[in-house]
Amino acid sequence: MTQSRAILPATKSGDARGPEVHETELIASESRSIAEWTTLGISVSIVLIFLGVITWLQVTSNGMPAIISVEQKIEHIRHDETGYYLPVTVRNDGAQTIEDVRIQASLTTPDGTTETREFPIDFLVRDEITGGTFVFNHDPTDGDLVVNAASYRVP
Amino acid sequence: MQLAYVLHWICRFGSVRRPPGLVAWKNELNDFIRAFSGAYIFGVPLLFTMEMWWIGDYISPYRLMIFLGTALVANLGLTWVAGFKRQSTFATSIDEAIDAVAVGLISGFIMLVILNQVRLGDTAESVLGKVVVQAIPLSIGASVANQVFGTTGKKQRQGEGTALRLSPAKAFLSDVGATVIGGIFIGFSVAPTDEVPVLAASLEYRHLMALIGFSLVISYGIIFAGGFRADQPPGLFQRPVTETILAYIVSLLVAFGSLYLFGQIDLGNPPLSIIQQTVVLGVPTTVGGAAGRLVI
Repeated sequence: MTQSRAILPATKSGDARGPEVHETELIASESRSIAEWTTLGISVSIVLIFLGVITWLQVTSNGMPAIISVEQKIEHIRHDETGYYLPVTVRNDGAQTIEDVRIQASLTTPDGTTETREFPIDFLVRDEITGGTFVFNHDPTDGDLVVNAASYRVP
Repeated sequence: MQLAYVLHWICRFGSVRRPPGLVAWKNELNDFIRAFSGAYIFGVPLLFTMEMWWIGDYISPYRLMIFLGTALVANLGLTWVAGFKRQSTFATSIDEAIDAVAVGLISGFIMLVILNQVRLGDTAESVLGKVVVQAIPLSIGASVANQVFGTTGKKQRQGEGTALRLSPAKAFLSDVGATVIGGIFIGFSVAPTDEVPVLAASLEYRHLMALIGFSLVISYGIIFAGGFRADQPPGLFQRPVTETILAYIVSLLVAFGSLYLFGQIDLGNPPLSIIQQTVVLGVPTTVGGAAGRLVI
């Protein structure tokens, strides 16, 4: 790659690139320098990676509606004087992004007491795994516990 | 702070005559620092907008394609009339448009990671959506960087000529005033929103440290992009490193004052909550403050 000493003229309107020239600009290249090729190559790669992944997402989108699964983490229950903390993980196995997802839990203890809890999830995109925690007054392992997704909206 | 020193060293290195290859690399580095600085000046308010994060969560892939295509076309036009590189032909305008979009994507990704809106376990769809929708305003900021900073690497501050005639005390007050006004200009558009407490609540210690480091680096970058003065008048605000640190302290005070005025924080709040919110709002006030010192 040949380089020549030249000051390129201001070619753009508005004269943002006016006639003032920095010392380092005195060495200008008629063709792209290695540095410019390198940065251009990196930039093109970044844009192409994004375009490629977006295309892949579009092609592999099978149009399946949301499929929500909720998994209780019984082994991770925490207990203190404020209650029993039951963590759960929520997953969307469908291809559809959904919003305002309501996850509910209902605990019926042996003495007939029922505790109902709920937490919302703003958005759940496809294949996303997120979590939440229910707080009960009674031990969830002692009663009949049902955890499921109650509702969602399509954005 | 070490990053700031590295950037400062690179800038000082520029005053030495070097072989053309190194000159070309230095020019590229300067150009991209200018591009990233322009991107954040233009794009910070939208980076702090919840709706932009949500749209990124559910936007469909084909719309993302349109977003990227729009960004490329818009930036091609902008780089033709402005751009962020000092040397320019039509061919390099095409290069710059692609570079600007890449700068928009990378700067958006960095900021969203630091703000904890892009996390390690997030799906590719979510990450792409959030980053691509932010790329348009950020890349536009990169493409108009020459209009913001000028092109020569010399000081572009409009008040430079008068600053040299000011006494050190007046020059100091002038720079503090410009930092406050610039910080208020951008910070007031973010301070009353829910984004500040929402972001603050989701930040861990490492995010706070990253936010502080990012604020210092971007502030230094904007000062760098505006060019350093060759014959500095005396004063703490007239040296790049001390200017960066002092400006950040002033910007944090502006952030704290703005949050207090809008009722987002109260002196009775837990200290950690106050610090978190102040550091979060410190990003836009720092960017605004640095921009303010360029134009005032």
